[in-house]
Amino acid sequence: MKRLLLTSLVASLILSVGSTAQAEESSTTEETEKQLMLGKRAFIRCVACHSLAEGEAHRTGPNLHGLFGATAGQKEGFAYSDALKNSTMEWNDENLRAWLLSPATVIPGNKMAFGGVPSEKELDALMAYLAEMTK
Amino acid sequence: MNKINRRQFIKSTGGFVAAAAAPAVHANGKSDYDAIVIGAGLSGLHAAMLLEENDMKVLVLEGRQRIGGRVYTLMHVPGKPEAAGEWIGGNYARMIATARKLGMDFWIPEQGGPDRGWAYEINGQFLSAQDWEKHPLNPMQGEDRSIPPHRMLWTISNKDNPLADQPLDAWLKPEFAKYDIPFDQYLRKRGYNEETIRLMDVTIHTNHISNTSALHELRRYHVNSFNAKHKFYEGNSYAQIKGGNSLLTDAMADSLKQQPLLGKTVVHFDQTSTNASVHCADGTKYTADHIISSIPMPVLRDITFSPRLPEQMQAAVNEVDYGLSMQAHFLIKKKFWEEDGMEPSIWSDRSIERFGVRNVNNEDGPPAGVAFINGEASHKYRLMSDEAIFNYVANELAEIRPSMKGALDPILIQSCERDPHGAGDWVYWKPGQIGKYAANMRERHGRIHFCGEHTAIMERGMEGAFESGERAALDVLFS
Repeated sequence: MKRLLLTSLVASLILSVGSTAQAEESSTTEETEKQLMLGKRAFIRCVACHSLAEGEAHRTGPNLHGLFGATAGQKEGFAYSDALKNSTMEWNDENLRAWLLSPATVIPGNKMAFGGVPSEKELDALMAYLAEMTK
Repeated sequence: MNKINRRQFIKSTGGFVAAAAAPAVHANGKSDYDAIVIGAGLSGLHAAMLLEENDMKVLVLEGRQRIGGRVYTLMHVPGKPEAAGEWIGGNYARMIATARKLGMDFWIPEQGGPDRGWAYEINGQFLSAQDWEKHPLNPMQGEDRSIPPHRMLWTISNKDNPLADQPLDAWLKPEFAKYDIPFDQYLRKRGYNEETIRLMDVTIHTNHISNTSALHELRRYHVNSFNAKHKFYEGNSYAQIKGGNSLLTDAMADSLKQQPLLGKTVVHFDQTSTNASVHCADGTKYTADHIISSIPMPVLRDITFSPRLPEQMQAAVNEVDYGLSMQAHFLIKKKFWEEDGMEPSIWSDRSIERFGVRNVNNEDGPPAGVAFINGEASHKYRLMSDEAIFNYVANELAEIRPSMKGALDPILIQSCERDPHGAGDWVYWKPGQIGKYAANMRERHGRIHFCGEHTAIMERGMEGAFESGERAALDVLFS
């Protein structure tokens, strides 16, 4: 399921590059693939709590489908902390990056037990992976 | 998604990583394995599973003749008590996810837990729970008087906990270093009297309440309260693996492509710029690109490293200790609580400490009980034979409670102190040790990475083991 999704993603990226120089095209694809592979590994930190695909069950944390652009703490069927539920924070690029570095700093008193992604490199990869997988 | 599909799903996504790009690390031809994991407990097995899911060739070596480490269900004792890792908290996300992935169910067995009926023996007086609040032996003031003796350690330790609402790793922040002091000193500063502190010391797992850091104790109860925020099993924030927690570690080992090798006691590690080797007491040697060791600190003291460990790490290995515990399990031949009308279980300030009764109404087999002794009191039993322990404990219990005379048949002794591969139940930090060592326990030594509950910084106990295994596996995958 996921595999198909990623394969088609890579394929569509290749197509979107269009008729520009061949070399540029292949290096962009390679970069994306590498970033997604790193992102998938970084997601090891998240996978116990979070499912990604639409309609998948919540775990210890909520399902993340449709994450980008959503308001924090509003997914149906998950018991969020009051702190997150009442935050009115939007999951945009900036907020999500800050959150993944230290959720307790962004919204104190939330119930996500996560110490933070340890490096910028891993954070970039994780952001790229989340962006694709939660669409 | 059913169980089989879920497994297939995991396998297929694991396959994607290999197909998409060459793995970052792979056996370089000079090693037999991409990684060797030492220890088939929760941390080691979790690390091994994650590495295998990312297409690494992994070997797990285990010192004992069984899988599980500090997860050990006594399958042949009525009620299947857990000898070590017992309750899975609501926040034990990795453990819960792994159990579900492997098709395990949860349950809350009839064994009473902290809320079972306790009678107390304090200063030689045997009393019922209902008499405690107004009893002259109750040393506490005001509303604290309603805290029963067996809940004093937990409730008072967590009262106005300075870590409350902080992130779980806040205990490592400099602003909390002021609590890295003897726990009894912290309690005295908060106005608790000597008798309260003495009763709190009874079931503490360290050898004395003055030898555990207040910060360690505050962290312990902070993590426990965080767990209560998450419900996962029929509205509860705690449960066990149905049929015994050992079923989970067995299933984790079974899920590995290469089964762990048992009876492999490690004596020496060495490494070069290209690989690392582990030498076992039976003369065997295994080589890999990376080694992940989950060996507890007291056991690591007897193992040598070439090149040697950095000075600070070696000091931590030498000084960091684990909580002590001894369990004497008995079959209960007669329902002595029906004879004297008191609560079945006993909590005492003498050296048997606790006698917990399971299957009071024959729920999961015949009634059975365990004398569960922690901390310095367990030293008393270190050199006793099993027979001597059974006799001593049975005599003490009959002295506390005449109805228990002739009520017990010995089953088995489970002692951390006698276990050459364990040496304790969980890490405890002595006053000052958190500042000195706690933040450095995760540092790798060249190609050797360390995991185990003592290296976790967010979670504790069994989930701490998972957290540490995940971190070590990621260290290898991203190196």
